[in-house]
This record gives sequence, C-alpha cells and structure tokens, in this order.
Amino acid sequence: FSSRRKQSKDWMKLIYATSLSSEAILRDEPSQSPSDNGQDEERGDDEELFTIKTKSALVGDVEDMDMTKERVNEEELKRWEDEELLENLRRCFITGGAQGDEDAG
Amino acid sequence: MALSGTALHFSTHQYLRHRLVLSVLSGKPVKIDKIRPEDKNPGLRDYEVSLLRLLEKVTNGTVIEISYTGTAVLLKPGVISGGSVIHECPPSRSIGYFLEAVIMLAPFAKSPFQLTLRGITTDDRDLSVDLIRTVTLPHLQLFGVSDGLELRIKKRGSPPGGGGEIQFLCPIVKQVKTLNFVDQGKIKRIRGIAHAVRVSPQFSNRMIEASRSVLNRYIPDIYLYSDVYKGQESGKSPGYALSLLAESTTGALHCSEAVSQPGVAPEDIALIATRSLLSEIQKGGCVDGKHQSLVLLMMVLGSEDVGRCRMGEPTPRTIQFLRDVKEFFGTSFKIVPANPSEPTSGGLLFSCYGTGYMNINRSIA
Repeated sequence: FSSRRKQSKDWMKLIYATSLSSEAILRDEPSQSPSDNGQDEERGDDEELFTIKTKSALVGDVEDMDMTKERVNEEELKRWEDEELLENLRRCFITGGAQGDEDAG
Repeated sequence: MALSGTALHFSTHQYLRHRLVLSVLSGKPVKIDKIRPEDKNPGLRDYEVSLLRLLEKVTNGTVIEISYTGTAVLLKPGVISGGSVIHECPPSRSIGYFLEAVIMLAPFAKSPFQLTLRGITTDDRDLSVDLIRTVTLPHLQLFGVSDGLELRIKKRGSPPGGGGEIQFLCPIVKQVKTLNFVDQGKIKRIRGIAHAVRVSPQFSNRMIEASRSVLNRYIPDIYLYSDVYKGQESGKSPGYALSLLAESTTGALHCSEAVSQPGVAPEDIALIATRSLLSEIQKGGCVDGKHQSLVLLMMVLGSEDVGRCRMGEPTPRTIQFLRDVKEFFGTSFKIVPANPSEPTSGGLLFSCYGTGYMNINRSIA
C-alpha cells in the first residue's frame, strides 16, 4: 500500500507547504529530485559567469499572458488519431456503461 | 502610500486578475509590484489598466494608485456596487478577460449587474462569450446564483477589429450555497456552437461536419448549432470558431473551443476543438479545467459548512489561485484522491470549510 501511495502526489503539501512553481508541481513527481530534470542540466552546462536573461524574459512574455484557456498543444492532440484511445474513452459516455456495452454495438 | 503597510503584497504581473478580484471580495488592500520591470515596455499593459478602470466602475470607493512607471499598483477596494455599467474593452484582450473577473464579483454586488461590454467576443486566450454563456453561467447556478442570470450576445466581434457587444445580467445573493458535487456521471449529450462572421457561412457547416465525424461514434445526442450574425452584428473583422460542451448525467460540464487561424482549414479548427473536448472529458471530474478557479472560489465563499467537489488535476493557474485564496481568506483545501484504491486516476476530491461570506453590500429589500 505504501508503494502505491508514493505514486500519487501529495497535493496539499505541494501546494501549501512548498514554494515550487505551479508548472514544477505538475511536471515533476515528488519522488524525483530536481537535479534529475533534463532541462536543469542543459541550462547548467551553459551557465558560467554570465547568465542569459533575455531567454527567460522572452519565455515569460509568451507564456504568462494571464490566459484562462491553455495553449493548445496540437502535437499532444494527435494522440486522438489512435483508434484504441478513442474506443477507450467510450466508458465516459452513457452508451459505454461498465455494466455492459449493449448500446455500444 | 500610507496603506501599503497593511496591504497584502504580491509581485509580477502574473495572476494579476485573480489577485485584484480576491482583494475586492475580501476587502483587503493589495499591492502588486515588479510588474514587468525588465520588459522593453515595462509596467501595466493597456488591458490591465482597463481592468482596473472597470473594477473602479463596478465598485464604490475603490482607490487605485498606479506608480509613475506603471510597474506597481495599489488597490484599496471599496464596496461592489454593480448596477448598470458600460465598458469598452481594448482590442488587446477579449471581453472574456474582463467578464471572467466581473462574474466572480457580480453575485455579491449591492444591486444586480447590468453590464455592457464592447470589444472582441471570441479569441484564443480567454473564454469566449459562447462558453461563458453555456458553461460558466451554469457553474454559477450550482451555487444558487440563477434567477435572472443571463448573457446576451448582441454583436460578435472577431480579433483584431472587434466590434462585438454583450450584455451580462446577474442577480445578487445573500450567500452562496455549499457545493457537494462528487459524482461526475457519464456524458449524455454534446452541444456546440459554430459561428462564422464576415466569411462564408459555409465555414460553420464545415466545422460541424468535421466535429461530428469524431463525436458521432459516442452518443447520438449531439446538436451543433450554426450561429449566424449578419451585417452590423458581425463586427469589424472576419473570423470563425467552434465551441463545444459535453454534459453528464449529473450535470457536470466540460468544454473546449478553437478559433480560426490564418491558413488553417475550418475542418482542422473543428478537429482541434473536438480533440480538446475529448482530452477534457478524459481528465474527468465534475468541473471543467477552465472553471476550477471559479468553483473553488465560490466554495470558499460558501456558508459555514464543508463543501466538496471532485475535479481533475489542478491546472497551473488553479494551483496559484489556491495559494492566493489562502493569503486572502486563510482557507486551505483538503485535496485527496477521489478514489483511494486508485490514487493516480479517478480525479481529486477538493473539500473546504466555507467562510460564510455574506453579501454585506446588498441593499436590504
């Protein structure tokens, strides 16, 4: 049971007891240490005496528009071309009940 | 700025809208600094200033101080007055940006809101007026804000020209009801609105056709409506969009939307909207991802009882919103997997103890 618990995030702790950015909370599993993250390593290689600030400023300008709708990731949506996945979602509809798929045909 | 000592303090332009709304609702002054200090064009953007002006219009006694450079702002909130207000939204943001903020305040006004907003009605950043009408307002109804709640789309306006107009009517309440919404049910119907202005009306039919090609396999109860606006009512710029919503047997709503882009066929726009809807349904929960903040806010403001709601994973915005709510109201949520035997799927159960927020602005009838 304890191993299973590890897989799910402790949302309350992550949100209220840490100062991790919201993106970091969603990206990382709590068991992973931050240094495991590939992005951090890449950035670490280039960092010597000066750090390039324009990059982070630019990213901030593009992403933080205070938008309610999240940017559509069209690559991510391509997974819906998969027939199996489409069939799998049927369980969320009244026609694909768990008690039997008499309507699903 | 003698008040800044007692004001809650935040930095950066991020989440500015939520923080201003929370300040007005809680009555706590807020000071936000370091607003784009290193940007080529530092300080508040025109739409943020416009939002501050709108907040000034819908309240009484609000003091707003913007620093000389525009990189800091102090808001000392007054009472939410409501009533009849007209506001021109700048073309840099859609009406949704402003309306989403007002919707959070409107039920607690002194008199019912009759808000007219002019500008862009649909864009790819904020909820379009179609989604606000068909999805956001039903979410408010969960909390007992229902009689006379209405959004009228008088004119449509696509970016960049805009030229749309809407009217938002909202009743006032003494207190919002406690929410207990844990059964997400199964999707029983799908509705959609396809609209096309200043382009061939055939475009909306093409979007409907393409969307149906994916959705028809699931349920027969699909009605995608082609909304036509002509002449003066169609705004200043051409554009089209498809808004979709799925309703479950228990009334849970999930929505998605895609807006026309240059050089992309209407069929592809429809596929983006349709697949986004499928992703949204897959995330599960009783509340749409884009409406988590609104629902959580109303839960906090609910009567002094435990409110519960099942949702999918919180979005980045929701996470920050939860933190900000704790700053303003001192309320934190209990968040546990809805299905303890399967913690990684099945959504999360959010529960909190309502603050018993009373509408003190309300004129006694």
